Amino acid sequence: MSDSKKQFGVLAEYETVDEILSAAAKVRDAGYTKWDCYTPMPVHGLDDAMGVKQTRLPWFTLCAGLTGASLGLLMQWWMNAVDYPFLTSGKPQWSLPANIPVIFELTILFSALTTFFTMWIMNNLPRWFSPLARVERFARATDDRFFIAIETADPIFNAASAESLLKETGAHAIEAVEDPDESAAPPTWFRHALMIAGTGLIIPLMIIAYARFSTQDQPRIHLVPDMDFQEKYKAQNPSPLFEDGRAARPQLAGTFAMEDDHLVLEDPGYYTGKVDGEYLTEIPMPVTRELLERGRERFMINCAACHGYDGSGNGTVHKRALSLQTAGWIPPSNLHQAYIAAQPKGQQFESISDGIRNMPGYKAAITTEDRWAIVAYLEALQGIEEAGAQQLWGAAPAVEDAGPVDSDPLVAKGRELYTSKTCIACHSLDGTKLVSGSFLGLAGSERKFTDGTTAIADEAYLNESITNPNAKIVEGYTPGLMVIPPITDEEREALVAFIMSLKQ
Amino acid sequence: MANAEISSAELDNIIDPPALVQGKGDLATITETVSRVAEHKPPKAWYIGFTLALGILGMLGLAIVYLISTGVGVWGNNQPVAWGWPIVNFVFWVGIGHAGTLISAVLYLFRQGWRTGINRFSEAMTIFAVICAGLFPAIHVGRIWVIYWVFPVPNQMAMWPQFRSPLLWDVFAVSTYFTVSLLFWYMGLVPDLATLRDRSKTKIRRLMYGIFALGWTGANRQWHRYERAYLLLAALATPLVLSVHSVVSFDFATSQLPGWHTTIFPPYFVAGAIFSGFAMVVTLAVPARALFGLRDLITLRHLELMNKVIMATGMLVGYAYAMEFFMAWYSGNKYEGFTFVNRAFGPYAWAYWIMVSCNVISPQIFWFKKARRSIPIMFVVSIFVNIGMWFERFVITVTSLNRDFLPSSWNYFSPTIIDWATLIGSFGLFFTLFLLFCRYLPQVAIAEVKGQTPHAHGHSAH
Repeated sequence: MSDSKKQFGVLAEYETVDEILSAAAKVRDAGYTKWDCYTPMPVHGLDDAMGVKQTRLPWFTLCAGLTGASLGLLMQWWMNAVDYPFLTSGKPQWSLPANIPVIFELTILFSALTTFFTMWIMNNLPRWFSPLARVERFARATDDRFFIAIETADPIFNAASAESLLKETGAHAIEAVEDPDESAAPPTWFRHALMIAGTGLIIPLMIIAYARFSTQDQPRIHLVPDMDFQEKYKAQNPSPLFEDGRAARPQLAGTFAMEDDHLVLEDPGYYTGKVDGEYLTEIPMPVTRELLERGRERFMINCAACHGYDGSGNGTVHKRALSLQTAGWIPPSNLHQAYIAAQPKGQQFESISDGIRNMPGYKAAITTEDRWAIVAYLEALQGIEEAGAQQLWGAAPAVEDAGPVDSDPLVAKGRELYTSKTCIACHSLDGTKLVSGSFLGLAGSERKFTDGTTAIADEAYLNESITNPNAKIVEGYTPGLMVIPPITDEEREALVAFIMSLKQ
Repeated sequence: MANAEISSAELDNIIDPPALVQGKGDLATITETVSRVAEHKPPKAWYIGFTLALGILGMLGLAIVYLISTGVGVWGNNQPVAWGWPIVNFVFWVGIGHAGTLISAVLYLFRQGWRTGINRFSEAMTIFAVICAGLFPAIHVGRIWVIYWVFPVPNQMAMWPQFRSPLLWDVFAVSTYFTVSLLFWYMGLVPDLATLRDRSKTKIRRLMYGIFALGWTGANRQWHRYERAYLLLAALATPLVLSVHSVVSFDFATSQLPGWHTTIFPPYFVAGAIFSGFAMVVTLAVPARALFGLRDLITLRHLELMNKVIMATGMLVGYAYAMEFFMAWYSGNKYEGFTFVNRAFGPYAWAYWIMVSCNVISPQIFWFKKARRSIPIMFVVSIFVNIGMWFERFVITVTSLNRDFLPSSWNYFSPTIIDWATLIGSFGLFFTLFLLFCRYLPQVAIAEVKGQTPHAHGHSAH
């Protein structure tokens, strides 16, 4: 065609499936390649009639499916077994069966998305405009008519021969189709709208990316603050909830922290063991056999774990601490020590109630009456020592060896102080090294110090070491390790005598 | 369908054309019948229905705003029934969706020509039902603003999801299911949108339908790839639909709870899903075909075939109910036994027997051809099945939980008014979307129905 306008091709209209099937075969046989049939629904047999080759689309689907499966497998393995190992119910960190469902779903998802989008891309869709859309009759291609269009782009296209070929196929109408280039693209406003929308979508992502990969001196923006910013007490900060800024509220005047606290006012001796600052010397109730039995029972439950069944201070917890060589372990007191036996009953009651040294108070765990029962039992326990503790509570738990009997009373007192003044925590008596060296064989041995000098451990040395532990530091130790509880000169003397008695 | 090896005689046997498209049945009539609905003002009933649905949707919105601003305590969920209303509704709606995929994908693979009358319809139902379903777990998490934690996206805690949890499988299964259903539905819509575009009289209609029709011209080279892609998507959607309800059943089956911990759950749930979905299709199709004049395209034959499926799947779930009891007895496990005795005769016996009468007994009427072809009977039965299937999920969830191992914690679950508002509101969401679909999109797959008419098959060429 020699028109000034460019031609797209020639269009022919048919009315039935049979017509287009035979027409398509003829056009195919004529050797055209750039042509197509347009039908309102897929027509069976038309692929053969046109010579359309089988599409490669399924291969894309297959590849996508394999990609989805491998990615699903890798993702779960990396996320749950490598990057953030999840330990649940002792199950293996990586077990394939539990990961099959997600792998399966991702296989399907990847395949379906790829199939969908690849199909449109292969079909050159979406397109804004088709030259055929300008032809009025072509609107029926999606209704009830069938069309064939041979395009001018075909290498063997010739307007006259194409038209005569289509006429031969029995077309009901034939017309030349123009190719209005200017309409091929979407209108400018549409493109602008798309660009603005596209840019608008990117902005939030850019903001997130910027926020993620940059540092700011302002706190992060929390869209939903949850518990991050609620009013609450934080360590080393005043509490925002009270005017005075205190988080731990002082007790209000005239109130009691615990339910029975008001009873203290009614009977302070019974409830605190003290009246006007003076300890009760007697148990404020009749000491009956029932009370003693109760006291023994409570003692076995609450006290024996540390103080031992016989009250010697050699309970299971203590033995365990020694075997673990726990640094700084302060041993439970031997309740048979004279100074404890000599304490007023009120003071023993107070120790049980409020605790002493590292022993916690048992006021919350043992009722007042039971605490007095324990105090009563304690007296029985102390009194019975000489008779042998076994008689008191039968033969069940073995009685600990009471240890060597010291003939020298000074050494005996030193042995007592060795426990009560907590030397036992770091120094053993059997040659084993705890935190520090054993007392066994210390006396008379040669000490090597960090400054290179040496000395024999005599009484003078021991006295100096107890008074001023940091004066000379034995090789292999650091200054400041040894801490001494308050100690009198007599007590020091006894301790030195005790250590000297362990000479080998 | 594009398979050229099938002879036309065979094709005629397979598709059985006369009963599927009634009336004149030529191509232009089919186009006109379907397109007319989207091009003209809808009947008054549509406006009434839409206003009602929109109002109920508003109630859902209020219930959700109240829930999120207050917390999930506004629901009746509490120990021991920590999984109450929301999971029941979730499983109910996901199940409804399954019929759509079954009709569009599975029946397509089996070359069941009759699917074309109802597939668009039921695919739309699938998508809207999955939207309703997805709503419940989403609002159930409590802090919905961190819902993205269920997806494997990097977060400030440097943690990843727990991939061994069936609840996470659910996330993948349901989101994949929604995506694939949407693609499948939209792909089917494209040629029909092109039809509406080419028929449109106003510029705005032409533009809107034109944009979504993607420039479809019906070129055969495009049809060729389109058909292949459709077949592939159908082949992908078929195992997918089976996996989705299996995964949903894993939420229950993988936990060590009597009443839940059974291997029958995946097939039992899938059968139940198809059952409830087909019932919902009938519930929707019966009024729609009358209202929009689609009786020639959604024929009595279609409805009768669906009723057969309803009866078959109804007996499948009936078998599952019986088998659960058998296993509870045969296992000799007293906890399992107690759960099932409690299910049928305990405090929720009323729910159990509603379920049995609706799901097992009511579809038995379809043994009679007259009942299968009676519009009022099938409509009533379909409503019964919808109710029964909702109760099935209620029974499974609540009766297994309300009497757990510790009798002191036994409790009777009662929904709150917010629970009710959310359940009823989800129907508002469903029907709002569905009525919009009826109004603006072709309710029947025009091109696919045309492919089932005698006009679509050449005689001289073979």
